[in-house]
Amino acid sequence: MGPLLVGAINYYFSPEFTDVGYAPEQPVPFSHKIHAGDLGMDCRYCHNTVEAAAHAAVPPAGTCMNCHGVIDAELDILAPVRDSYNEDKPIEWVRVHMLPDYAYFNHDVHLAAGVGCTSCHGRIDQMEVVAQDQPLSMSWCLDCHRNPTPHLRPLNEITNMAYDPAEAGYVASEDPDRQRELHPPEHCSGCHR
Amino acid sequence: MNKGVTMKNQAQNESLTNMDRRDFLKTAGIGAAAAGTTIVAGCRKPTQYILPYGKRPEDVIPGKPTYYATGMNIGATVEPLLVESHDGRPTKIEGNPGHPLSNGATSGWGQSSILDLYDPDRSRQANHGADTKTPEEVDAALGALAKSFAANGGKGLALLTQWVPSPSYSRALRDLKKALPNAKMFMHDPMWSSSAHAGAQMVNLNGVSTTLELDNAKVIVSLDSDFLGSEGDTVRNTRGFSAGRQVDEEPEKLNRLYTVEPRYTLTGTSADHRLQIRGSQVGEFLAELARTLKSKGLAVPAGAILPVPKLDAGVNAELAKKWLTVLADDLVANKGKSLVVVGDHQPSHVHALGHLVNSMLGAFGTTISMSKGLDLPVQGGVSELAALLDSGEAETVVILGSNPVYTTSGDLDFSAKLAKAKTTLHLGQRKDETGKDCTWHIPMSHFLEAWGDLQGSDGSALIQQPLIAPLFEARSALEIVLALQGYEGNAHDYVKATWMSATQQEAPFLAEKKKALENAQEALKGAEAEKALLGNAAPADAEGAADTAATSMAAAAEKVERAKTAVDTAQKDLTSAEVAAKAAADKAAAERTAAWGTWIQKGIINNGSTDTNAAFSWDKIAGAWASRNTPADSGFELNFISDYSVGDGRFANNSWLQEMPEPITKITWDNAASISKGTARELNINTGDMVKITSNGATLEIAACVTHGVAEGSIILPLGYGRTHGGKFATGAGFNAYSLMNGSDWIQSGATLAKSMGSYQLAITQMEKGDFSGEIQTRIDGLVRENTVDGYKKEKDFVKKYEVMPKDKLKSLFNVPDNSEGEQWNSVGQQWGMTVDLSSCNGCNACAIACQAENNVAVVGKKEVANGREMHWLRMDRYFDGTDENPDSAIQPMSCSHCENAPCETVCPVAATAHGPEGTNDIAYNRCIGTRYCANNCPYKVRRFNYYNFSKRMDEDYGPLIAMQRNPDVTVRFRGVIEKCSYCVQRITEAHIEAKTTGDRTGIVPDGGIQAACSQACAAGAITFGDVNDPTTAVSKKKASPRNYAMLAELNIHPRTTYLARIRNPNPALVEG
Repeated sequence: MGPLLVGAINYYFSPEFTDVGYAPEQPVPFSHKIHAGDLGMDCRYCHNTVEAAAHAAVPPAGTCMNCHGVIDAELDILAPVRDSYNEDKPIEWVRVHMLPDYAYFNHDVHLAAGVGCTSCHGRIDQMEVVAQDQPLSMSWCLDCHRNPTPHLRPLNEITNMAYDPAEAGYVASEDPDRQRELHPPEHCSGCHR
Repeated sequence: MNKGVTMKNQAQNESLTNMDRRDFLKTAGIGAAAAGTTIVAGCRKPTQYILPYGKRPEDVIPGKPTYYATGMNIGATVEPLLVESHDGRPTKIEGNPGHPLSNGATSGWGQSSILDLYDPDRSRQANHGADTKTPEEVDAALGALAKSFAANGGKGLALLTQWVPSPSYSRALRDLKKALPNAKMFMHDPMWSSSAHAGAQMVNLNGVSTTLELDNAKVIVSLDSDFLGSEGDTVRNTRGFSAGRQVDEEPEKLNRLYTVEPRYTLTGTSADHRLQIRGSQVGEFLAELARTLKSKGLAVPAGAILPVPKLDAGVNAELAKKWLTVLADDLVANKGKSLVVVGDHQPSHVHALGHLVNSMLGAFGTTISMSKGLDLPVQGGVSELAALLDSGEAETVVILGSNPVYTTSGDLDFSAKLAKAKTTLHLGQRKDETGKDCTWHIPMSHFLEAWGDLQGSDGSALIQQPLIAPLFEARSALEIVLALQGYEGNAHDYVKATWMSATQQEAPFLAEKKKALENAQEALKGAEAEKALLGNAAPADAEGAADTAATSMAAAAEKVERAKTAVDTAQKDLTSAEVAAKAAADKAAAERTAAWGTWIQKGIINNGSTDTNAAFSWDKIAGAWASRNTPADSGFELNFISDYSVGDGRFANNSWLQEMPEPITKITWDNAASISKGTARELNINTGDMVKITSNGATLEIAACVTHGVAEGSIILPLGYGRTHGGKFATGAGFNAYSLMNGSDWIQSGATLAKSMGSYQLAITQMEKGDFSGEIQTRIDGLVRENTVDGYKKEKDFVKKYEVMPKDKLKSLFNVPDNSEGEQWNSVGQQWGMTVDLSSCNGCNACAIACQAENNVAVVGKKEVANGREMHWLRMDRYFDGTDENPDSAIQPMSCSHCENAPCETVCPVAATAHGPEGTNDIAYNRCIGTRYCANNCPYKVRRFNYYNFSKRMDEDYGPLIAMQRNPDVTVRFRGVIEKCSYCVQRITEAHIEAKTTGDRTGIVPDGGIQAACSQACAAGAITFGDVNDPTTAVSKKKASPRNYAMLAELNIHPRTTYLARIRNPNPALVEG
């Protein structure tokens, strides 16, 4: 019974069961489905630091106001955005994708390697409320680091949510845009420092 | 723990540390019961929030650090800095690589100054008596003060400032003096040598700043000076000195350093020869040396009379005699390539004589450069202010940054004097000893919060720009001085105005034209005079004579005409030149306006100018020497020194510096009276015993430390400790040696020393193990390998003779790639390694503090240091050798060597420490279960264990301010895990990512692309880090040196960090016999 219980806890309390599907309510009911899906906006319009830094920063209210200063400018649900912009006070977005503090993830280098947004975040363009799609556990990371090839796509299809490399018959090793063979780190200090 | 994105933790972080066992069990029981019900609700991690900007400033990329150039000063020393800022929060200080005073390196004080910004004891609000005051109220009060002074020309105002080598600050004080001519200004700064200043004045070296050009020097004589450790431009000096120690490149050019000193300084540990005599005798030694130099044929400049010395070198009398001839010979042979450096704490007449000797040696213009100095318009020091207070003339005292109640000699009793003033205003970062005695206290800004400018000793200038708005309601000294004169603008405008209106030198061509005009006018005058003379002589009596007269008259008239034309031409030339000069000046002004941005960005305005036209006058030296104080015949001599950690006390609340082991005594969190072994034996005193020192009627009970290298009869007293109101870390640490000081002399004789009751616990990180002899001595030779230049030339691979095991005997149980030639683990990709050059390292601790700042190394406190639980990733091992009278020393930095065949990895039961593919010995902290097997198996003893939650405890005890300094790229460790040097793996990873995402995206980091925090801070360039798999890198070239050796290589561990043996350059004449 004892070993069984330990085994069960170890298995069922893993991020795959505890974290996937986490979809907290946000202070502003921002719909990725409308913006990224229906309107077809590129992810990088808002998350514009994703190719320059470790963090794909959540956009400042100023980015929202680029459009919402004109479109739906009086909408009630956008009041926190307007307040944030006018008073320069942050909106308290609830963090969905959480890594432990001792794991250092870098968006920039994953994009440069040709890993698409959907590989980790799922079909954000179909989500009214953002939910965690993948476990983001260490073993899940390592699965890809040990065999990245199926998750790679052309460097210009990174933010294309509908793209499927298998369907498109993409072979990374034959892509002339790729200058090097990938060797994702599998050692401790690759992510822990 | 903090990461780049701002987030907050909603969960209550309940601390269990304050619970007793019963409470804990109760809570645990409730927790277990609650767990059953919460499983259904899900076991979510605590909710975190992301707080983006409302309006993100342009160019800000959250999580990406930015760097800004600025600068700081410690007394007269200016450190140009490049400061790293994470999301608006300064986290790390580096030297500015574009500035000649730094070239990218820093001192330990520079490195640690970032922590002072986040000092939890900084004053947060101004107060007047017991009332706190808002910034508006302070403004109003300062305004009222300014108004009342404007009415009476500043009558009754006395201002006390620190030494700030800032052109704008100096201008502001001069402006204040102009506006309030009755105001008096004084300067007090123990980190600025008043005796060196007085000595320079004595030889008419006014308004001139001197800088050591050690890279030009072959023979350097240090006279109780610590130019490599704590005095003057240590960073620049260390680089210059180290340039002359590059034995692999130019063994012929090796310089030679002699030191004469009463205690071991860092300069002394770097010396080739060291003579140990009492501090009061150092000047006498110099006088003897001057006479010997004269007898060897060096010319004494006109007007100079060499003083008559009375040298008493004590037990080293014979040696000193021998030294004088040998040293004089060496100096004469290297005339123009040699110099003497007099210590900051030597009296002024010794400094004056030092200038004379340097002049005899032809040092000025070669090994010592001069530039235009900077002066503050002050009328004296703290004793003059005290006299003014006594006379009742000083009604309002404004103290800017200084802490005179603590940092003045005990006999002055400044606190009582200060009470005589009606209004006293203190501007300080903490409400310190002076702050509590003043009626007003105003928080002072840190240098990273204020605008200013600084001028280095070499004349180079920089703009000091703020990186962060004042954390509290703080203002700078400049702002107060400006407020007192009713200046309307802010400090930024004032500093900018200083540089925009900087007086341009007159264009040289303008001077030429002026001279030409003057010459022409002179010629015209001459011609006219000639003509007039002829006219007067005109009445001629003979015809022939009349004819001649007429001819000469015509000639004279013509000459006058010609001269007139010449004057006209010269006048025209000058007018056009003036137009050109004005255009040039306008252009320069426009350029300055345009350059302002560049100056701020680059952190440098100009490289300084050399000015060697000093007009020395030597006639005052003899008189000063004749009236010098002679030391008392009996009793001990007290040598006050500014402490390596806390300086004069200004860094006393910096926990990194408090915990940094003093380089020689290895004491942390305290100071102690260092006494010689002979004295210790005689009075039966051991390290840690309390002793009673009496001098001039003042008494101090202080812990003793029996220290190598202290001259017989000397007691070394580090200042800066024994604070009563210094802050949480400073208060209660050590003993206040100022209380023994009498007047402004740093060397006092006639003191008595007696063993007192009881003992005191000193937290010492490396204990003396008596005289190393026999087997232990052999071992140390193997660890720290040394040779002389001649020995090295004869036997290049001398380091091999210390190898205990032949290579073929080294067999491993584990599968080690067989590479019998080199030390390499494998040859795939980039492989990181390091070398430490013991020839260059002087043990200044800058690397250790840099490591602490970069890697979030926790401070553990005195008690835990005493338990041997300090957390430093990089430590300085120091060893002593030789006799008590003539000791020898060695310093060796030690951190994880990243063994290829690491003993720590094989014993970890959970594989928390494992090898990376690039040769780094990694730790996954979260995997560590704290068995400490690895630490036990580490032959270098560099692994540190977190016995407590040191970092978290710090945050809980002292608030969240300290956490703002932490590097978000490095995990903050928790209780129960091991940590150690990671080769700054966060920098390696970032550099790889950079190389994978930019350029040709190969992922290969170019040589020099990664600097470990330690190698970046090192002014001596002693630490080299890089790819050892590429023979072209700097580190590979160092490893190819015959001096390269691995410590404890006989254990077959293949350390990646190797050492380059120290090569000394002793004078053969002093070695033989």
